[in-house]
Amino acid sequence: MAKEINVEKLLGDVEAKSKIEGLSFEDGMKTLEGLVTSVESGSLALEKAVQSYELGAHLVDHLRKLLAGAEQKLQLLEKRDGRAVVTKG
Amino acid sequence: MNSPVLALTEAQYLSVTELNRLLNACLEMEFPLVRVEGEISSISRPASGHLYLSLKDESAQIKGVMWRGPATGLGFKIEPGIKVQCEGRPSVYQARGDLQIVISKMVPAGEGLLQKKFLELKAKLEREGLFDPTRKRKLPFLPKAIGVVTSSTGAVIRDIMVKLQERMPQIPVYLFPVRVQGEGSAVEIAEAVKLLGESGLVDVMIVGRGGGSLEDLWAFNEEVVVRAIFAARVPVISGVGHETDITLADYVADVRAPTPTAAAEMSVPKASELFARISELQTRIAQYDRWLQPLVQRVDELELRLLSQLASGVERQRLKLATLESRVGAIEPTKLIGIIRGKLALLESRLTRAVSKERIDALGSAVQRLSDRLQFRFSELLNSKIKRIEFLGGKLEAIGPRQVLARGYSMVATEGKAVRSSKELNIGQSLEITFFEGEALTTVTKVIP
Repeated sequence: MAKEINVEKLLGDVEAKSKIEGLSFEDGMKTLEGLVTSVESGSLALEKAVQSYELGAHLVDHLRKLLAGAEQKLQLLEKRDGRAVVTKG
Repeated sequence: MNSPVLALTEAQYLSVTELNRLLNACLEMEFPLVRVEGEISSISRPASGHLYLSLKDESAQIKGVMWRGPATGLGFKIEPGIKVQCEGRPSVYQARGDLQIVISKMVPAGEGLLQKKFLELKAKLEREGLFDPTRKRKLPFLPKAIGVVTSSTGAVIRDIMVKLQERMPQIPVYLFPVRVQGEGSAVEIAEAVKLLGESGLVDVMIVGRGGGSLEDLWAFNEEVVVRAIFAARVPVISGVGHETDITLADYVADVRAPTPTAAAEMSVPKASELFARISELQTRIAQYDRWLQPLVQRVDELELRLLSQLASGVERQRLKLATLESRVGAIEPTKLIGIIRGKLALLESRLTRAVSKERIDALGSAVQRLSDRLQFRFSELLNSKIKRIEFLGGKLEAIGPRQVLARGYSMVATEGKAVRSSKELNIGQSLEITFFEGEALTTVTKVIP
């Protein structure tokens, strides 16, 4: 299971954006919280602060996407050949 | 037997009342307390609250009565057909001569047996470590899909769907329908738990049913169900019956919910709360003023240092100017302005470099504001310094030789050197005389010491 990304490492990573897209909701949330905290500490150089801002915005989009969805869907299962199979969507 | 009947003679007849009273006295003496088990065949409960019933088995029947007091405290639904275990005393209802049991305590038959089975199995599985709290798995924070093992009819699945719709409507639900009571239901439940876990479709599952008697809930106490939950591939939330019903499925589940609805509630976080948290973090990171502040402070410090350096530079120039009274024009104000402009350009380029990477309009404008302020302060400083230099230049001129000449004095020089004493002169030597306006050449004719 992927863990939240170390913020320090993330800022130096050219792949940061694609890494963010692979995060689960929980890990993404932790990463976002880490970004916000380090940015708020004011200890980052301007360049890294700006980068944190951009990655933060990207993460927010990603997390919103994970929560987005339509109606609750109920699907019925039954046993077929020793496996659970969807019978009705 | 010390019976009052023995005292009767052949000629004596008892009244009916006396007979019934005597029978009662005998019963009381011989059967102070009986325990009887049987099936309830008929039952009535008039407004008085007393309970009248018949107990029967395959070949016999007896009436029973339970007074309102004990009848109120019955913990189960009493109806014809159920087997009960009663405790009471037999007596004759005097008015009718009916034999009946006055029941003081009644429990469903078999319950005691089930209870015993429950405790024995619980102890066994506990020894095996199936209920060990350290092996309980953590529920996923946000499951990708939820599995439900329960009946496809009835309120349970409906209640679960309502709760999930309210909290996290975007997560799909997979229902594996099973019978939740009766013969074979335990095996069905166990198999559903196993297959659902193996399906890879869900990452958490709810196993449960609505409330009922201990017998109704019994499938969830069966070893096969407990073991299936223990071995399930994904974490299991149990939600069986009501809050007070605790089954072995509850003991083995990773999380025990008091009801199926509560299980649904525990399975997912509330989407609205998550959205709120994301928005909060988004706002905080967007408040760049807050995190930009230390950076602005650094630029401010730099600005102050530059200003003080410039100020001390001007001061040095001023002192030099004052000591070089005789050399008019030794310092040119334009030069100083050039120096200051150079420093300003340097600062500007540093600022430009600092903000060249930024892509946020707001951040850009914040830095721009700062830069504007900096430039404004520089031009102010520059103006005041230029004025000061002009003023000092005027002063220098005032004490220069031209002003002396203007007052009517003249300067005498020979070979470009000012003459300070007549001893320096020889007869016939040529002298240059400088007036306020114009010059003249003359020759020394006489030297007076």
